[in-house]
Amino acid sequence: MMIKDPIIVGLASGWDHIDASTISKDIVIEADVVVVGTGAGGGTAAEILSQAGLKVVMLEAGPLKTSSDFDMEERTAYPNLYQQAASMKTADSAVGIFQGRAVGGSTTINWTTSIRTPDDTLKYWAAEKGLVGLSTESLTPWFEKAEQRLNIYPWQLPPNANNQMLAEGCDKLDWQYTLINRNVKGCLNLGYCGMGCPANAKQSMLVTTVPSALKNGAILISRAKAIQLEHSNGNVTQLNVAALDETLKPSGITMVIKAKRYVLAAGAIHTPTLLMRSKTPDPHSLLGKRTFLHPTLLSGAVFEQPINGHSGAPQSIYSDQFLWRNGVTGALGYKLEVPPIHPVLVSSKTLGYGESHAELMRDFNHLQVTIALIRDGFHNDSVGGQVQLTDTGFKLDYSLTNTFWYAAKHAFLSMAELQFAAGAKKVLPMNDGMDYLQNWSQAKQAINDMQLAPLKTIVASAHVMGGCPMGEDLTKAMIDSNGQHHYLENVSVMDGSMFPTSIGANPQLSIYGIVTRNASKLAESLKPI
Amino acid sequence: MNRRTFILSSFAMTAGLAIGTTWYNGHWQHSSLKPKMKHHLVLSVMLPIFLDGALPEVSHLRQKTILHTIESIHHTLQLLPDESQQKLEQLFELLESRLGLLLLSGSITPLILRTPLELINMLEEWRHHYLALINEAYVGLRELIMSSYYAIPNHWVAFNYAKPQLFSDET
Repeated sequence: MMIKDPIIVGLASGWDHIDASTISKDIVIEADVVVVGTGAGGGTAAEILSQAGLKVVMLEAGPLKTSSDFDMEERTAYPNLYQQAASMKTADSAVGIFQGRAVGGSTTINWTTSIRTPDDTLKYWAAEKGLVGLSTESLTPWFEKAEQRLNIYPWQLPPNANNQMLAEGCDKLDWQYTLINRNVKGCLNLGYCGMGCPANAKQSMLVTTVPSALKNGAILISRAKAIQLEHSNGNVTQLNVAALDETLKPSGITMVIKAKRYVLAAGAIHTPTLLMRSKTPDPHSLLGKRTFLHPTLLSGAVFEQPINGHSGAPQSIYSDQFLWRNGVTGALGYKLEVPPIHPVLVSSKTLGYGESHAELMRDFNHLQVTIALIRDGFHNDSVGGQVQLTDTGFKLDYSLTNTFWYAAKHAFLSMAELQFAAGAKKVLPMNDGMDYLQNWSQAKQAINDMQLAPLKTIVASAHVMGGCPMGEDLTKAMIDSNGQHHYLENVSVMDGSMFPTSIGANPQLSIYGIVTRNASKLAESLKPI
Repeated sequence: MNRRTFILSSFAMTAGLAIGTTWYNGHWQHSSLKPKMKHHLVLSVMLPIFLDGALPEVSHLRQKTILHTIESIHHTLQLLPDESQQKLEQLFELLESRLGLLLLSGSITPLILRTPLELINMLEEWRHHYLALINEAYVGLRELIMSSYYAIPNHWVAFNYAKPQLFSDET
């Protein structure tokens, strides 16, 4: 039985989609609201605003790719669905960044982990960053609403072996761990969420809010990059857009979108760069600063039994044993999870070459990988990175400080201890110069002695946050706690750029919950009478 | 097997020995060679080193695999941002020029005349170099080769991996 592609069906029924690579002349579009970006923030906002009877235009720089395109191969998925074909890096190449670039944004390619914003994070934001009205208690109904909308429930099937080893290690060591909530409906447990769900089970924006907005009469424009907001006297008057060709390079055709309200949801890199390119007010030089990544370390382990980390829900268990290990602002804590294990991802994010690398790849089906996501942005020495404009686009400088390396070493120790406790035959911290470690005693010594450094230590990120922070203190925030821009009356920001620190959890549900709240408030204020 | 003999007999000598390329000249000169032929020589020398243990041992299968991987590398390169493409192009050009080789490896001996051990020593030097730029060159080349090789489904057989068959044939 072939799986139906709801997007193709919807488009055939008359949804209004413009693929900007196909247009041959400049156009002007008018709307009540233009939403820039169709990821977790943009999709959520577009649905809520269109439900209120507003005429919405959704703008997406990436292509519209649907389940018919999702062939479960990295060579197709990375160029089609990821920023820079999944090769994006920080300016010094020390951190590889995985971020979506297609309709649905990162929700099209994320691993479905859905965790509410931790209470400690919200308390810190209120106390230190001047956020108002975003407590655990006040956000609970909004999280519930988002969870209901996207079918977010605890994963019911047994964890795959990759996740099970995380749970078993925690059990042996008496460490805390939690069953993950996932945004899926009718999941086939394939394990290919990162390449676009071929069964439309993942409740990404691609199959939920974006189609819903289209049904409400919204227009979707794909392969269209927001270039500049024109503004005067504290109001944006129009958005200039470049149409992109099939290779996502400017085609030379331009579009102008005139709207009453501009909702920016292009993500923590592209929202700040759009505002910077547009020379919008930034009296306290906040734009693009304090960009956080949850910089992530990897530890591989070979088990006697098959792990088959490519198969089954990619993430179903996490451990917060060390997330708040020194309080909120102490030495950096980290979250333990596992990634899916696929050939390109593993071969490129491991170490070395030749026979040693080939040996690692031969162990592919017996390989377990644990990752530690560092909670950046709370400690004084963890100020995040900076997104800056360049002649060719942007760059993200992110300095890996001694505070980070201290946490990284602690994380490597924890991961190795956990993997040996779970029964690993040998463990390989992803740090150049390391060889397989045969037992926990040897690992302790070797990890304590190992040299960590940019380009030597594999560091990755799938969570870009910050750069356009929210709060009521103008010296610290670009937007208020409702997402309203402090200096531009008809601009809101509703994406991961709004966070004043990292989250300490996979960010998608934080975006869904907070944007559901803020977009509902905005819809109320804009609703046609 | 004499790897050098194999390489010489497998690929046409396409690389020039230009002198004077600098690491960041900002512009790489378009070669008159067909794109799919670019850098074949340097890649045909480097692939057996990077993929030792993964490439088939049987000669004609090995040649075929190297050829497919080079095609895959060219495909991967085209998908990268302009800036990354330029950096890698410059690296290839350096490896194809005597001065570039001198800068990168302290020797003007062409790669094709070096033994596998000499090539490994060169890579190890890059890998552990004190200059981040050289480390970056190693990491960039390694990622390009590994991701291009392991993206090809035919190469998954060696580790018993296959993607799921989602649709059953209803005939």
